[in-house]
Amino acid sequence: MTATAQQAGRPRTTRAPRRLPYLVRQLITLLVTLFAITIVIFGLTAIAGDPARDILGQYATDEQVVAFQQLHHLDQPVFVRYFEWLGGVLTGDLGTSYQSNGPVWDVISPRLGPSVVLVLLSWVLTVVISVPIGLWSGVRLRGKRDASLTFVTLIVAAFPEFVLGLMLAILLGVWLAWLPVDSTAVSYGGLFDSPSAYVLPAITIALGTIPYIIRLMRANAREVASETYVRAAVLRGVTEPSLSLRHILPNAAPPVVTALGLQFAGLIGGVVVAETLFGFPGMGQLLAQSAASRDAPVVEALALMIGALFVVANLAADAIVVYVTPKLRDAVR
Amino acid sequence: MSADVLNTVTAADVSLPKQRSLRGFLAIPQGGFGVGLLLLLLALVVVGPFIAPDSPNEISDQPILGPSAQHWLGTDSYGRDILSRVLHGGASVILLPLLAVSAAMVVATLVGLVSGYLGGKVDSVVTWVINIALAIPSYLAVLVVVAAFGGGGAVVVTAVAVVYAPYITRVIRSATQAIAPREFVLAARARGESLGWILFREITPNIGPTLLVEIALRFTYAIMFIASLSFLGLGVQPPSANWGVMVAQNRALLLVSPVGVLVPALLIGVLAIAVNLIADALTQFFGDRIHERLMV
Repeated sequence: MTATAQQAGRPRTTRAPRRLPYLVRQLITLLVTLFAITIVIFGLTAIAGDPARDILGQYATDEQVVAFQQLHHLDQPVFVRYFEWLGGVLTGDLGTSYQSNGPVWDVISPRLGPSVVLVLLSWVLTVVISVPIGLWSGVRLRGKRDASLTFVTLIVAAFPEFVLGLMLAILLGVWLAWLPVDSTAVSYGGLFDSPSAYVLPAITIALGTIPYIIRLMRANAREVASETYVRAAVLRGVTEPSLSLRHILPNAAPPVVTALGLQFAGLIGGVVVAETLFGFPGMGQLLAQSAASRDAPVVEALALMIGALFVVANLAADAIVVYVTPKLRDAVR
Repeated sequence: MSADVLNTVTAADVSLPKQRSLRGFLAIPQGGFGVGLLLLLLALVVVGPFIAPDSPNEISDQPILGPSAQHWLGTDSYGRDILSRVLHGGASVILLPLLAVSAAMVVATLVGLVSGYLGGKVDSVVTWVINIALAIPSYLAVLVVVAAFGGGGAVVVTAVAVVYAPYITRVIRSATQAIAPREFVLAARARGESLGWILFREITPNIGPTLLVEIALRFTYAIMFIASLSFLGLGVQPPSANWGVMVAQNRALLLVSPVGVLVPALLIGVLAIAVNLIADALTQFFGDRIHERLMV
């Protein structure tokens, strides 16, 4: 399939081809991907056509429609609008919301803090719960108990987040009444004034990714545990926490790190659903509300911010994997 | 994500079709249990509308009643009988994901076969598009589409099909690449068979197991995804009776009558579990390892 190199008939030289340093190549990938994301995001809204009539409602006069189009520059060609938007994004101007008629940034900014705290919390929960369980079950668990753990992860993985969240809300919020079923409290007072309001959304989001990470960690730990150097370590008299933590975990971790970066995409869905379910005043709830009310500028800005975060998280995960894996570390030099 | 993950699949990861019986499949615990659950749910969805006491949008009693002999699951905030809505609300939960997955499968199979078999420039372009598409989180893409085109069943089905197609293409392309260098394909090529013959008569039957696993897995994801979108108010629109919509609407009754929210929510969960169990059993049954390799 890639026969061109051989066909050219050049003698193979021993000198390695000149390549840009790994990090520079990754940065170029990042910029190209981000650029593609802006085109997809903007292109989709452009294909959909003029939203003025849909947003103003069927009783809007023609003058109102024209005024709306002028306010949001909808009367200009798509390319002009795209570069205006891109230029605005680069200079920190995210545009004007269709619904509030104010700057998009003012709509988004109060929701940044709570969402960041929520995502970090659920991400930490995911790692703290799934990595030890996965490692332990991969190394130690066999037979029936192993099969039942796999079965449980399979079942939890097939529950959509809103169903999991509802079950938690009914159990912990209604029957046991330990936690509030509504997280609106977060929007009043400081970021950490109502810690209990974070708990249910955070667990719900984490439960969406935990089964997946457990299974991956388990599979990798099992594979590494059967390697000869692990058996050699056992014969040398290395005993348990050290065997799992120092000999198995470092070698089983790289794919899990990649997955934790990739799972950021899974977290997005979880955040949107959990925030909506619990009335949590964050970016996910805003995203769902703005999509429903067809507030394209807000959705575009949020999608771009979250998309950028996702791309960066993936590259960071890639870089971490490369620098913790000796084989790969030498290969990218 | 990175491109090298696309090159790690070998012929050993593609399971070849062998003589296997349905009984053997059902003997796998996940398989038997999954098929049983799915049949039960299908029965509920098909028979449900005929045995429902009321029509789904009929206001039959006082609003917000708890469970009683007359209304087993109570009534919602409009006074509609929740049991009747549950019995009517399953069809779209199953049909919309089925449509989305079918559409995505058709496109992705064609593109995946062609790009995996032909390689070269075609493959480079396809891989490039796949890598860009995979860099955009599914939820974001679908929400942008809904913001642009408005919500509703048709928009959501199209959006989910478009978003899933690259993922499926990736799997089928890898499977095709693993099969393409094998002797029977080379023999067909030497005989001078047409491209269509080689793709559909030589390669497709041999990636059949991978296709089946992929369909089952994607169907699980699509059920969860589209139900979640309906829950968010972006998919099936009220007043349609749909389990996802019902969860969103009856959420307000959470503190008064949790059963009315719990039952439609659990039914969605059980449906997704049934299909997911079948997907898992298919993976075991065929010894498919592509999905593990590609981390999907």
